[in-house]
Amino acid sequence: MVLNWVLLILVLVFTSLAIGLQDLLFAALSLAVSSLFLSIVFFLRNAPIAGVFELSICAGLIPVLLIAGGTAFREIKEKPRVSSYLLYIGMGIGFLIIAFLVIGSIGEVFGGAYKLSFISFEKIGSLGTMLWESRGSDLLGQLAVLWAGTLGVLVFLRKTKEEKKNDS
Amino acid sequence: MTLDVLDVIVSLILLFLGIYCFLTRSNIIKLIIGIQILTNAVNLSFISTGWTFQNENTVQTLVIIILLIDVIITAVAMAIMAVGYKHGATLDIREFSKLKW
Repeated sequence: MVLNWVLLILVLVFTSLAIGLQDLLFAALSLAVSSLFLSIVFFLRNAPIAGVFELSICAGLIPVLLIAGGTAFREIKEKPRVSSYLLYIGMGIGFLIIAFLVIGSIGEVFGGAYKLSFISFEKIGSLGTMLWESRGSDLLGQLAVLWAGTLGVLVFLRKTKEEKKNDS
Repeated sequence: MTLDVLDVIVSLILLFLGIYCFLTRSNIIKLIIGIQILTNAVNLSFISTGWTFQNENTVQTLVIIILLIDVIITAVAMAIMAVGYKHGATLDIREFSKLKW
């Protein structure tokens, strides 16, 4: 229980650092450390494969990409942006409303007045069975997203006619 | 059967930290960090739900798919970052409005 608290607080601390730090290198590293602690939380919640994916992707691949991008474009420091107080007030009100609704719906805070009906999970064998045999049209959607991502990268990084002329 | 309230509170805070990052930052690397934080919030709530309902396999499948799509989003965002830098020599998202048709 104490370990759970400590890990979740560390996740919050390093996430806040990732947002607050103006040095983009340290911000990306803070995000990696936050994901590392989150993956330990996943392991403790009996989800080791999700933990491994979180560790390798969110704590490994993406911070490396961010650091490589930041250093390649030589923009290590973030330029500050002035935000209005209305934004913070609106966000605070939104947070309170959603927090009351969510905590009230799952706990006994309002006597279960807003109780959500959770999706009833049907237990299906192992993770492998779940991943490869029990899926339907969502695979098509996932393939579409992969295809769109690949096309997006290709379109954004293609050379213009002028660049091709300059190269030749 | 109720969810672990601590997990829900932490994922809510993470969700709002991600939205805060999105609304107040203008550097595209910080925006990608915001997407990661939002993803972490969603993943934590999924894993917590699976733990509560004793069905971790379903939520692990969902989390793996989410992480896969997260990588694609990051790749596309990095490509947009490269194009924006090529045209404006900056990673500031406000300067990217010059890229519009």
